[in-house]
Amino acid sequence: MNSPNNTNTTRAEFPLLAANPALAYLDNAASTQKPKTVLKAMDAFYCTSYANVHRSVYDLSERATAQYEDARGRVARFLNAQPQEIVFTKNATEAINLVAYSFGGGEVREGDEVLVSILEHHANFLPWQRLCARKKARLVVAPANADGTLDETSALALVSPRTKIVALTALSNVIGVPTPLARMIERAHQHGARVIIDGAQAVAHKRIDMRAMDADFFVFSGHKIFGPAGIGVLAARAELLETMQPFIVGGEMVKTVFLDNAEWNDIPWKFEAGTPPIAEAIGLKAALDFIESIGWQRLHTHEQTLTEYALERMRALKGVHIIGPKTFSSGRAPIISFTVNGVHPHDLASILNERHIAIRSGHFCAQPFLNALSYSAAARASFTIYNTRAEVDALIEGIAAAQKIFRV
Amino acid sequence: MNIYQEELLDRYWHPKNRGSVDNASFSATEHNPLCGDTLTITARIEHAILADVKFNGNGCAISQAAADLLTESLTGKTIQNARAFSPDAMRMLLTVPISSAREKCALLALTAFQKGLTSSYAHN
Repeated sequence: MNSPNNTNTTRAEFPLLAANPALAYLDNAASTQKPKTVLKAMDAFYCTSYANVHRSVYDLSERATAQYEDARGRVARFLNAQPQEIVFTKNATEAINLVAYSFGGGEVREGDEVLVSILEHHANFLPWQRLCARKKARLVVAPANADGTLDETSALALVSPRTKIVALTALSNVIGVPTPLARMIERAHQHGARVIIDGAQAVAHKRIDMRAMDADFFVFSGHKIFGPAGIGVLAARAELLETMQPFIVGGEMVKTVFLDNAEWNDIPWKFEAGTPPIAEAIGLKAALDFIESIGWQRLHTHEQTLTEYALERMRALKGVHIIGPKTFSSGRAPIISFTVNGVHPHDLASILNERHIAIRSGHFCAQPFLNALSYSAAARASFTIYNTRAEVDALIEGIAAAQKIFRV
Repeated sequence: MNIYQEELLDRYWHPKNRGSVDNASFSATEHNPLCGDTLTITARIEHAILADVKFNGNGCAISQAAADLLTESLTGKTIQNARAFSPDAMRMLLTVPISSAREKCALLALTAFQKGLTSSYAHN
């Protein structure tokens, strides 16, 4: 088979990729493909153990509940947290909204400040913008350096006794560069502020340790780490979850309901109103098994090799401008945003699509950040374990072909 | 089929109707939330006829070529005919096949124009 992808054995573990040998899927920062083990785990659950959870005394329901809670335990081990500190949500976005409503709603008052960074995805920007508007609090935005990395000096200086919450991404979904989490968290805690870390990008590239990181809240989505869409995670200190009001109310999250009041369930179930994404939790567990079976060291080595190679080949292309740092540095994720002189990102993506290359084009749900860097749109290629050097070559050839069509 | 045919690219590089009309009867702006592109249509209506229609803004080749083709096609049309100008008519004008992912780009100018025309008539 004359495919650019037949050198990567991991690719065979992904049914969609195995069925489309010509496809170069380079949009992994938006969502990853799913390995067979994840699909099989969900299928097996539906075929052998499906029922609603935490409701009934029959065997099937007990089995479903045990598997759902086992998945929670797996997530807790993955993050070095306790099971009661793991709340299942729809995705990272819902988890951040939960914290903004339930924690921010209780803690933030008029005149207080919430600090975010200009690098944030809309998901870690809009919930805070809205909270501040609702509470007459001030949304403070930490700026970026000229190269797009967080201006750490300014960011640290913006934390003050007025700061109640610091909301920060662990890794930019635009430039693929990590933020100085440890120093920001330490500074926030010195001033009594709580910290929420958006781990949507970071979780698929580095080992997360809630204890070592010392963050108060950490969120991620299952679908960006080889798991199914429809499940996300909020990891939070138990003592904070205990004091927070529920985000959504309804079934399952309550112990006793009276006509005029109710007693909430224990954590974490207090935050899981309604029937949860049960099979998705089980799929997420299989996804975490998958990424740990690959091993962080092998993943890092593969990602670094691809990123260095892609950056090198892109730097050599005339008219291509890489957004953010143009060379690899430690902690850099395999995410490269760029523009091509004379070729609009949407046109580039269309031309690459005809060559079976899937990249992202647009503003990556980070409009304030792109605008701060003076872009309205860009293209983005992002890699993971199943991508190959041959796919990077195909991308480079595709960019050159687009330049030829547009005569630039 | 490659959508980037010579005629479309020529429109993109050398638009005939880029600019804004004098004494405009209406001006309407539309954004493409997918990419942040912005397009503004201005038009002057005389005796229920579109005497002049122009566009301004930045965007991809599809949105810019579509805007140029549309403004050219609308100039001289009656209000009634312009109002009946449908997304299908826009697709036919472009001649190249537009995938659903690029639909918003192809229809950005038409959406802006129809919005402007409707608001202009609401004022009258």
